[in-house]
Amino acid sequence: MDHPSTEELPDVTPEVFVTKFSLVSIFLLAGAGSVAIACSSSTSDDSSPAGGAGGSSGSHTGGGAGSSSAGKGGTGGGTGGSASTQAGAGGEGGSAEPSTLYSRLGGHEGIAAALDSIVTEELKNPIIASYFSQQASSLHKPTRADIEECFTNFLGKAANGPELYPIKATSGYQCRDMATAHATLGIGSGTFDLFVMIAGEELTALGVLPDDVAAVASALNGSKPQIVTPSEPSGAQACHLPASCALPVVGEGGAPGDGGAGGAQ
Amino acid sequence: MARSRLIRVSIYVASGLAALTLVGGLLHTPLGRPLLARMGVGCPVQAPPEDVERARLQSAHATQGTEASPAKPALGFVLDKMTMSDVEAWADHAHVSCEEMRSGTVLHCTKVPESALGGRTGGPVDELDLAFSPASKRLVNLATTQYGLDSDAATAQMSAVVAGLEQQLGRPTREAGKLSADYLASGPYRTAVVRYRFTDYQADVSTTNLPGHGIVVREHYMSARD
Repeated sequence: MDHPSTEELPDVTPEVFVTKFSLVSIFLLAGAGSVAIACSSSTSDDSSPAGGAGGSSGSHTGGGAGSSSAGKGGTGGGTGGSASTQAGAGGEGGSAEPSTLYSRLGGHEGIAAALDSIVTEELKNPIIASYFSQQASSLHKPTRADIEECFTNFLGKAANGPELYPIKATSGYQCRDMATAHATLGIGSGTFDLFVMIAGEELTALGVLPDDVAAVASALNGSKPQIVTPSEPSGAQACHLPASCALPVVGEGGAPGDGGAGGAQ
Repeated sequence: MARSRLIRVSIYVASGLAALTLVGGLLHTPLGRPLLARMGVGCPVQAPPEDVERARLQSAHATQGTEASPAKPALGFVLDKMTMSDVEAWADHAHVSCEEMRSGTVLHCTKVPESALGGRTGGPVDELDLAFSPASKRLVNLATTQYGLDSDAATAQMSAVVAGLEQQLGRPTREAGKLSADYLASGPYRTAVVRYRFTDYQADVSTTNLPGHGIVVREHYMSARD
């Protein structure tokens, strides 16, 4: 910003002009700064495309998700790694399969561990990651642990577990309903579908039974109307810049329309 | 005198603009965003590229293998080496339409012909996303999505991709689900997954029966180096 020279301002004393103009500059900087700061923390509300609802049940410790970090949740690290330990892997051990989806997923702890793995995989995707990534910083609320704990309780409830919804996470963060948590994130239908697809891949890799993967996916899809912003592009691209909103829709399809939270058993 | 008035008006206009900017900023805060949403406007800015890359590397480290990769196949692209300019030159040459996203750290391309993808077969890729490290400016992550296949085509496509990877990388680190046309067609979200995990590189190939999208084949290749 070029300040005019004081020689051009005969009717205004330099001191007054400088003071006024400095105030304006400060005001402008403050405004621009607030936009930058606010938008850079735009994922500080539950930012997972399908997460962020639910709450920590008083009957659970919440430790499974609460202790999560990016340093865990590996799937098959090394060669030939078995990835069937975290999500309860229905049928493991040769005994009769537990009769409910909730128990087959390993209950609260199994769901929490699976979600940690799912978030880890989602963060590798160039499109999905931008909705989650600020959770890599402990400075942002909700933290990754908060989101996973909220999400665990959401899925636990959807799988007919004893989880309650919505109540506070262990950290004190108040999990919110899906619509509120995702209202301003501008998540398109395609981005949501991509999220669910990656979640399904991870559950499959974890050894979850195909019907149970479909049941979880259906539970997630039940929340799609609350999460997706209808005006956003349907393709898998996220609307990060106005220009990208105009990209042609690829692979568009209707909403799966299957399932609803709570009906998965 | 006229100049003085002009200056005064300019200051008022600038102050007004500053106030509007401030209001705009406040509308993008956690408190203001619900109001923004009610006005039908979203906050379009997502996480900063540096945070996205940090999270990606954390995830890569959390799932990395124990050995270095003998190669880093990525559909003809060169991870950790190619720049945005290199990829844009490729797009120009191949007549591929791409759009920059996220402060120039992601290139989103659509309808990419197979001939442009390092000898890949199986038809065009509907979406190709290429992510660049904000620090090194090099290509570190790419993902493709191919929608609307039938189960036979998807099975053949994934089998071909996996066969190509096995030639360069050996046996996969992890295989899950079932790669067969009958299985994939048997219900929603039937999935086959093949994964490679090395200390410096990861690759994933998957096929999913995605309701509303037919059978979807995804490929994902990324550097796991810091």
